[in-house]
Amino acid sequence: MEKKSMLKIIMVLGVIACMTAVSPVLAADPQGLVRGGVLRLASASDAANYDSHMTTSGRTHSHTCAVFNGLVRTDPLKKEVSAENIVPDLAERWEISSDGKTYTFYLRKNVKFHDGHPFTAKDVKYSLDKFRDPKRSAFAANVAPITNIGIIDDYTLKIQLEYAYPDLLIFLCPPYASIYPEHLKDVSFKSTDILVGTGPFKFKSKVPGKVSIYERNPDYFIKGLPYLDRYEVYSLKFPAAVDAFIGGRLDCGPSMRAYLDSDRALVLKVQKHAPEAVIGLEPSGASRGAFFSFVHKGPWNDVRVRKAMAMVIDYRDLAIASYGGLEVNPVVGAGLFPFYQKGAWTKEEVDKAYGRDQSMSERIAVAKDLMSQAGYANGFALEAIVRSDEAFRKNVMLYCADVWKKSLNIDLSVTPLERSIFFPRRDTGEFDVVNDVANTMTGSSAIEFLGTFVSGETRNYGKWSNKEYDDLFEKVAREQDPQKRAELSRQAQAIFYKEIPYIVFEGAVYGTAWRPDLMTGPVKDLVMQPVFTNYVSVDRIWFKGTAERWTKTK
Amino acid sequence: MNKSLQKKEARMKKHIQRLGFFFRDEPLGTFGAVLFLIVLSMAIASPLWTEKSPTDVSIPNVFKPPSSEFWFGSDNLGRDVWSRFVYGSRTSLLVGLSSILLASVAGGILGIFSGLIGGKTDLIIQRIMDALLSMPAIVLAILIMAVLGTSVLNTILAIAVAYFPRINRLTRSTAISLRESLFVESAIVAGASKIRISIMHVAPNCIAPWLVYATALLGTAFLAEATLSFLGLGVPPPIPSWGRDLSENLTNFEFAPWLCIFPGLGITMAVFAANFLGDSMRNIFDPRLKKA
Amino acid sequence: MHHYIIKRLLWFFPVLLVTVTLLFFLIQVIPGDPIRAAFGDESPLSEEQIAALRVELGLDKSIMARYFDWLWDVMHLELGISFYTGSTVKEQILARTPVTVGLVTLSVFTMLILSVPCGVVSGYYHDKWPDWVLRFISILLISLPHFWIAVLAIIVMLTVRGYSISIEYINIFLNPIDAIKQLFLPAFIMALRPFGVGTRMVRSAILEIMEEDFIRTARSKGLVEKIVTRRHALPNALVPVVTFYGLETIIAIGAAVVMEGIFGIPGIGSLVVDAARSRDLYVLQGSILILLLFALFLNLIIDLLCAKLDPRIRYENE
Repeated sequence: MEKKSMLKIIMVLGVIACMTAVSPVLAADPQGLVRGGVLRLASASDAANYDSHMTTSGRTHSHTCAVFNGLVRTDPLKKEVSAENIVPDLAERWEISSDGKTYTFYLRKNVKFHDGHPFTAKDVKYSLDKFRDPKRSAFAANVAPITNIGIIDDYTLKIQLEYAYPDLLIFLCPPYASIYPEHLKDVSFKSTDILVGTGPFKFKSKVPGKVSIYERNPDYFIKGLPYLDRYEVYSLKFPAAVDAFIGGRLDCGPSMRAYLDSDRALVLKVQKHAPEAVIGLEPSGASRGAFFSFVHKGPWNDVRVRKAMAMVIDYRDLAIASYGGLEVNPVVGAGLFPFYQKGAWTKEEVDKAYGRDQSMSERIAVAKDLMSQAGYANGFALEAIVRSDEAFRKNVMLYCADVWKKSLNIDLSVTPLERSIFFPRRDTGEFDVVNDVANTMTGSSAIEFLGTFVSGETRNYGKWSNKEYDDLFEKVAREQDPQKRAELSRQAQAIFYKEIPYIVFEGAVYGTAWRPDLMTGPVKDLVMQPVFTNYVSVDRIWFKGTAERWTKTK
Repeated sequence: MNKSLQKKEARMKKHIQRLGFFFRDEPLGTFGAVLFLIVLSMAIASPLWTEKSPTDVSIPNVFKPPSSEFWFGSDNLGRDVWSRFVYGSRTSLLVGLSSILLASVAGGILGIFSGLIGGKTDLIIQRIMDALLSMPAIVLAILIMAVLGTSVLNTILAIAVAYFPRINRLTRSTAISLRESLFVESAIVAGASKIRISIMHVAPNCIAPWLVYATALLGTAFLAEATLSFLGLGVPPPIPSWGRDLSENLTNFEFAPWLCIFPGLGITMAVFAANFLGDSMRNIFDPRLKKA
Repeated sequence: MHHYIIKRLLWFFPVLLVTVTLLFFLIQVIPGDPIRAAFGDESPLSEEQIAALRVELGLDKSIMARYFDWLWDVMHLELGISFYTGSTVKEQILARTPVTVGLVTLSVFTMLILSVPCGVVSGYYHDKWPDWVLRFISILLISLPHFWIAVLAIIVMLTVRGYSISIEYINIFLNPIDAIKQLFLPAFIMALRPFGVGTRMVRSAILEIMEEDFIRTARSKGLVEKIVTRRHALPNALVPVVTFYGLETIIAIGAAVVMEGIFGIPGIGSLVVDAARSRDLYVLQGSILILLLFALFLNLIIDLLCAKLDPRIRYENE
């Protein structure tokens, strides 16, 4: 009996505790800015690790962006990512020497890590040394010109470069170049123990496979920020995540880029059931396409064959095959650079290079002619490998198989492979054709776009090698004058479009949907940045509304 | 000559009569049998049911609703859903029938062997079967697919492994009860070898319950194939499969419902037919139920 | 009875050992490099790092050494770490087990409540139209792929009632009402198939009982006979019922594997499927081991219950 009544008391207390926990106290700011609230967003699964230097995945960055800062950051209030829009983060200010080879950073004082350790230049040196070490970072190539990082005093740091490198600051922005605590250098990046940063949110708890909860850091170095009380990342698979968002249980929809094939359906679904939701789709700068292997020998090693194969593809059809339709923000065709980029080949130039200025029947005739010149008038057979977990890659290749069979009599078999088999084969060039992304970090620098196809680069999956192209790339990286640099990079693109080591299919779209009352800073709506998705400026996000579930339904 | 022909005719007549009884006594079973024959003919003579290829891409025709041209509509690559439906039956039946056949033969032989020999061999075999049986069949199949990787052959193997302990148990218990029966004992007394006994006496008597059980499992095997494909662990593309077609089109549900409805109907139809057939077979062969 | 219990308990361990052994060797056959599989896509590793990880995880040892390591670890319930997320398998399983247990229990209860009355009606009106209709429906239910029904149900509920998938993690033991609300739809859909089977099972049980009644009346009877019926016939009739619902619980675990993925429920089932897809070795091994333990314990309980109900079973085995 006694036990039962005890249980009752405990239950009542528990219920009270739960009620206080779920009703957030929201307070209005003088400017009408509302503090408090919980941001709930979804990620397809738990983070593989918390090492933002090593990982290109949003699954990791949606956690690290809340906990860690960079030395500098892109302006959270501006849309464009460029060298002009870089603002201070952990560095208060910086100086660049006149020859562009020395950067001096002056760090913020009185910044503390979440565990109370003071933040000093030691932490920056440790983190950036890791960031530029190819063994411990996937982005080392981007900061290769760094020769030395020297500590002047606790709050001053000097970075020496081999040659002037104007893109350096862009590559030092979060979410990639996070500053980790030096005193935790022995902690595994897979453990939540590493989640001790200087950022706006502190790690609180994690239920594996379900949710990670982060709490407001009251000692955050920007006074008054963050606006939110809590930041929660749910591990929720698609399409369950979409349903949860529509039901108003998530504030920010799942990233849609991994499911480009069904984007159209997904966007339409959100529009139908949650018409008040805001949908943001932005080209990311990365492109998708087919890499030809130069490790495997075959007819595709002949440039005429590659050109013929590229020519007969209809890019509008391809976009439909990939995207499911064109009514929602389609991206038809793309180049190695996004068309809007400085120094990029224009759409017309790319179209001309691929023969797309002619009618399809003319293109097929030219392509057939190229095939017979190469000695493959009767076609040949080859195999495309694709990742089995993302259907749009398979769909695009099925479309190509159909086109190539019908116009050039090329038999393409499409083999979806599981990750364990796919990645080792892709990385070593063990394929005929592979469908994948020409990935970029910030999607804003010529060095990234051109760098993918430099000899020896990991992302150069087909192991294409061209001396002339490599030399031009070297020149682009060292060139100071923006005008000359654009000119050189156009020359490098000319080689790329002539040799076609990779058929560009489409520009990758990054996008998500969020609840309508989600705001950031003084800007009226949440700013979506290409590549850096909205979570980067998580410290400035706030809610106008207070409802736990924001959709009208139920 | 004439006599044997007459005998044959009489036998035929008897069979037809039996079939008549089946139709009369088991209208649901008949329904199942007819449905099953339809699915079977779709699988065997797919080109007769549809002229279009299930893998032919046609971008101008993406997401066409059902019409006279596309009976069941078209999918995200403009492929004809009706022909994918027809060819999907092929995968389903191929995997379902072969896996049950494999499981029945392997499980049956091992069951008779284990039941007749008895002793330690039986004990060890049965402990392994216990271990396999304790796991839900679909979990076992998922595990095996994860181990082997996706392909048609592996799907057949995975489902066969998941169901063969069940058939093994059944034939083993039949074999044990037969071992104690008079005619087997007399055969042993007469000095017949164990192999001879199992082939001549035990196996034929195991066939009836074995057949009933295998038919009953057939529906489950169809469902298992669909489930594995739905989870992305079944047959790989471009082979049309109802389960995979369904899972690949989940997001398109609201805007192109035909893409989700027809593959689901296909699965239901095949499993339904097999289950009715199995149910009626059991009613016929299980004398207790018949009497009641 | 005691003899039987001891004997049955002793049998439990060899079966467990065989199961654990089979599981271990099956997993070892997985092709491809598990370390590359787990780390390959998002953070490419150098050869040295892969070699170091291999040593750290003990993958460089011989297969037999790893087997004995695994047995030792299983005894301590130390099931390794996820290659993918780095959290321990034990931690993941502990967090997820209550969810799956809740889902399966709820589904079995739903099925029990539905199938008994329907089976009685079907048996009572044997070979008349209610029997035909119920048989038709029950076979239809057995044939419906439940993942299909789940997908249809989510869309229908979303359109009609504004239903949405719950993302909160609710422990059924701490907050049963909310958990039942969260799990009801998937549990109900999971119960449809066993409801079909259960109806047919109860139907045939009713048919048998009716036959027995007939025999009993034919033999003229007295009080003694009644006691005999109550003490022996009824428990005997319960044996298949207990066996059936026990086995259905095991099958429900299999159904949960599919259902959890569709409804975004963070149980053991979705763990199994995710691990199978990404070939996360230790997670796959550990999560299937837990499902196996569930199933083995259920089997044990069924056997003990049946032995309690039907003395013949325990005499045969003693």
